[in-house]
Amino acid sequence: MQGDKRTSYLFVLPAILVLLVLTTFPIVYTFYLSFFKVIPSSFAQKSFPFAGLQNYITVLSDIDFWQSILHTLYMVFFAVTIECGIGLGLALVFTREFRVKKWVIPILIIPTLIVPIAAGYTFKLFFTLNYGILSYLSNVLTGQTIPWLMNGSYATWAIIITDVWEWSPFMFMMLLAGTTGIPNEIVEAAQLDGAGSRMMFTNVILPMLRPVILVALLVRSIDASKLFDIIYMLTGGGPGNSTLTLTFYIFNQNFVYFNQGYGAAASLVMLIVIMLATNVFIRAGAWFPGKRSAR
Amino acid sequence: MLELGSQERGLRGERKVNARRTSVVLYVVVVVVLVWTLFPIFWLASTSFKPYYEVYHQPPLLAPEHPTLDNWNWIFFGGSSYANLGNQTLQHVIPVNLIITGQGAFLNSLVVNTLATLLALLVGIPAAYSLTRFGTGGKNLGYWILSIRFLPSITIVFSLFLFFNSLNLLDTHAALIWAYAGINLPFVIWSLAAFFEEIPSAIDDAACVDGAGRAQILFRFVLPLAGPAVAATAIFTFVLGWNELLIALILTRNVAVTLPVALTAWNTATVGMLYGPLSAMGLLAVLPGVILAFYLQRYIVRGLTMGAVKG
Amino acid sequence: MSKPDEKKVEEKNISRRNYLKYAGAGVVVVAVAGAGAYYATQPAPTPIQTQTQTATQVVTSVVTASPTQSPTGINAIANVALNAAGQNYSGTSIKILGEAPFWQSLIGKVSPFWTSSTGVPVAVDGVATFAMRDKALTEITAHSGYYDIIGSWYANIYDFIAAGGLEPLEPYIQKYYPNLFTDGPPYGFTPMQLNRYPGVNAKTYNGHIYAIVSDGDPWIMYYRKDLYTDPAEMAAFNSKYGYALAAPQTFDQWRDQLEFWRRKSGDKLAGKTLTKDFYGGAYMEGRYFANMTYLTFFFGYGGVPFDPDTMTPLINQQEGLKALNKMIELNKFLPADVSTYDYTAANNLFAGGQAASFISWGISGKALNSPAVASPEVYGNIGYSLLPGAKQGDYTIRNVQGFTQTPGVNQRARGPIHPAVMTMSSDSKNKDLAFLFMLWVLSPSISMSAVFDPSGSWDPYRYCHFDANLASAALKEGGNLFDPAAYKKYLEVQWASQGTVSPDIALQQGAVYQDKLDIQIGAAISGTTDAQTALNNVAKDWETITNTVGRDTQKSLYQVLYPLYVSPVPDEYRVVYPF
Repeated sequence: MQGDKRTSYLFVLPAILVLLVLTTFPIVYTFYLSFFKVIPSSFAQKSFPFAGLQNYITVLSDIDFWQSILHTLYMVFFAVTIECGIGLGLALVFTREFRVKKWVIPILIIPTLIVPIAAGYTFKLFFTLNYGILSYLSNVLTGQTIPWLMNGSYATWAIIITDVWEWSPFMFMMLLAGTTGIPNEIVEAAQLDGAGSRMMFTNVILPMLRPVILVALLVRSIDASKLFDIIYMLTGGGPGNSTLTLTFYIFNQNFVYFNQGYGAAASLVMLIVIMLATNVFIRAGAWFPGKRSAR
Repeated sequence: MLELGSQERGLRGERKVNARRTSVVLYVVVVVVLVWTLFPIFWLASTSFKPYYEVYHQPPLLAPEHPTLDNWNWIFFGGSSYANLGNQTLQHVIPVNLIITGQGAFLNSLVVNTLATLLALLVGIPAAYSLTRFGTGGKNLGYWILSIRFLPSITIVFSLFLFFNSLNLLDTHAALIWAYAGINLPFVIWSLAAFFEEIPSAIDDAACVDGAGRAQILFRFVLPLAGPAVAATAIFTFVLGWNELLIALILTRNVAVTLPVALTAWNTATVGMLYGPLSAMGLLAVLPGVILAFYLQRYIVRGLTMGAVKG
Repeated sequence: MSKPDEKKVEEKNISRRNYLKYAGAGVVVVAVAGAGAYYATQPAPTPIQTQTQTATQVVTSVVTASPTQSPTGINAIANVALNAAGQNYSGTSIKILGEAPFWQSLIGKVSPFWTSSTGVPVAVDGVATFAMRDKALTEITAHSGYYDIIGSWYANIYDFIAAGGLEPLEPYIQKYYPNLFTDGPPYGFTPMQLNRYPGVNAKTYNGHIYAIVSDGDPWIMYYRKDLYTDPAEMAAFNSKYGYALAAPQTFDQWRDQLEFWRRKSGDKLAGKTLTKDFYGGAYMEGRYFANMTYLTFFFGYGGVPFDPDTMTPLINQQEGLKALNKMIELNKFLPADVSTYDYTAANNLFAGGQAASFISWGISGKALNSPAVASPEVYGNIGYSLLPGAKQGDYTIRNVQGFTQTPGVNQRARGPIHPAVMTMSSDSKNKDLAFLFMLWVLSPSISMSAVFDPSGSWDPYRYCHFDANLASAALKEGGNLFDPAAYKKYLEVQWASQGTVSPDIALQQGAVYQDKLDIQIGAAISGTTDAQTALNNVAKDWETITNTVGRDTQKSLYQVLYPLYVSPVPDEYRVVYPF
């Protein structure tokens, strides 16, 4: 059609403008800030003192920074793995038909849609030593009250459990969707060949689900690494620094210690890592307009 | 479509013995999962009706023994209520002023997210259409938009703060509306593009032949076909903004406070965590999520993976 | 399954689902509308305190109760402020940043009187304690001018000043009430608060005054007088430990007593059988509080945070290690979850009758002397004492003023002190008005009401606050029943404690130093790191901060404060309780 090229640019222009102003320029400004000393006293001077690479050097030699990365990786790994496991199990169970299925599924995805802060607070109440129900249950079951939020390793798992509660439904729906793409004929054919249920699972179902699992893992991992709300509520960084994640480290630098230079430097590092992960996502399974989707 | 249950009948149609037992196991699993899912929500509801001395009861109480509307009164009307100070069986009243009432925060969240969603749609629909039909900007534009979806908001939040402050827009609805529209736009564009792609371009060509302009094609022919999908994207965007904490925390003070930020106010250092009113407000906050779950179940997968997987 | 059947089933399901969807939505809408209607028709509950009357009444009763009156009278400064404000600012408003919920409560109690007199409404934004500094800095660096008055712990003002966020107050003091800091007794600022911290009250910082004290804020020890004077328990203690049972003067004595008082449910305590576990004491070891408890021990052992000549951190030297080890040692006699204790939890343990002693801010004394807060066995049985310290020979002496150790004297009560102050934002659009309000709310008559608001967090800081008669009259106005004789003992200990305590880490980024300390103390107590490593980490973190801010900048401020950390505290602050 005539004038299409011009129309097409006009159509994307507002979006590009909005994204430029509200997301890209802030990133550029953060990048800019990372080369200056930006602490409270800097704001009284005519311009922020130039710091060169000092912020990066300080951040990269800060043990807390590396620890926060470690904690993030640990939490993401376990949370996503467990979510995947639960999701897979549930998906397989739900491939059967049963009467209340149409009602159960919407209920199951509620955790993913509710305000993470509300979930965080509820679980904090559960994990509190004296009047939390999980401590009480652990006392009843094992005779020992687990000091959930008082001990570094337990606190980490408290966060993982909360995240699992919140995001397993997402994995479940992903994998359920994936199973809808497996043609029934293949399963029946495998059965005719005498495949038992375990072989069926590993050799038939799993390979067919692989693209979906991959996409799910990647999306979930990248999102999980930005974990903030739950930590803000449950532990605030944990006993000592034991549940400090990268996002929280940056938050501390920016808004608690008010050292925007460090925060900006750490943000840049985080951005680079996320970009690399996004790259992997794109190569592995991202959908682009025009590309066939993975089932 | 995969249906494991179909193996319940053998090759010649006879019922397998395991059928009934697996049926019981199935229901047990479903019940366990339902309990696990709904328990925290149930606890929120239960705690919101507990008087203060039952909230901190040892051992924890499943349901309030003396249900009361105290917490709800407090979050809706402010004024004074108990604080967790002193002997748990006696009452010590401290006038605690709210930053914002429950209904105020609810309204703020509603207004901000509705407008942000509309704005994102307004800007995103043409962009998505353009990306699908013309492949504008090719891979580069797509890559850029996609990467913003994964942007951690912590990295830009201080810059946004300075930006809105320079426009004197701190603590206004406008700031949040624009911020949310900005960070949700990639999702909107991508999601809509996936839906648009399913609509055959033959429709466009037919309309074109009839002499319609591009904008007309989009709004009169294509959009109505993608109606439910657009609605789903809109609802999804709404929920994403409704749940957002970090940006709202930094950009608001006490006028444009949204529900997630209002919830954090109950974590006082001086009188402890006030779980009673917190639960009441929390229940208010999760209401949209609970309701919308029923509407969104079809689209949640496609939405969260940007169309990589069809739900 | 054949396709047509599928389709039919799906259609049926869809229409049924649609129906249910709409039905569900309808139910929700009706429910919400119903709830909305219910709440809309409810009358708003009346607030607990009728505020306008209270301020006037306090002023009147205080004046009549006072036996001696200075020529200027207790109302003098308040009247100056009200007259200067007149009706000139009617229509503007004042916004204050303060601590939730206390500042809202106590300023909200007196401000209606101001508003009715000047036509200027006052709004207090309450933020969680640990968020106050960040919020203030966010507003200051953005130059928003949103807050006219910024409340803070005094240690934070150096950050605000460095960011150019605070307005020097001396021009306003000169203009409206030049005698603010030269008024002595009976209404002026006490010697402990008058001339101590740079930039606060009468002591200048770079030639300016930036803050006025609004809260004395010392730590004192509360203990169960009835248990400590119980003959059977006293005899048992003496026979076991070899000295008389009394409020502990040293950490070691406290350790003995914590061990002695630790009983389980079912054991006997002062002749009665316990139904709950009982502990010798409690202190705050939770996040944001642990560093203050630690500093109590650290300063007690004679530790100083930095070397005054090089700004090298000294937190990980022997005093630091001794302090941390002692804390960890005492923990075993305390409740299992003491490492989560914040101010409320420590209060609750004692108020509920489960602890024989505890360390807390002065304001606990107000709350505990209310039968609504303290259990029957605790109410009326509260003793007050200075914080324990290190025993003689166990603490480091640094010779600054030629201190000669007096035999038999223990180092006492060196916990951190952090008076809260009111400052004026340099971006405020109503500076004169803001100053007049500060002058008014911190004036002798009005501050009586504010300080003795039972739900407030301000501790005494003026002479008149320490007068037991005036104090208990003001408390009675606020709803507390208070025996002046008992209250006098409490005020006496507060007075002494405000004299001997050491300051917070009051430098630029002082709160960050203490936060790093807090994190590592938490790690050491939970067993994640050992004590020496934790302290070494603190020293390393502190070095980084000092280098970032600038060593010379920090050194110049630290050298002014240094005499306040070493032994003993200068004489001008250790005045005898005058009532």
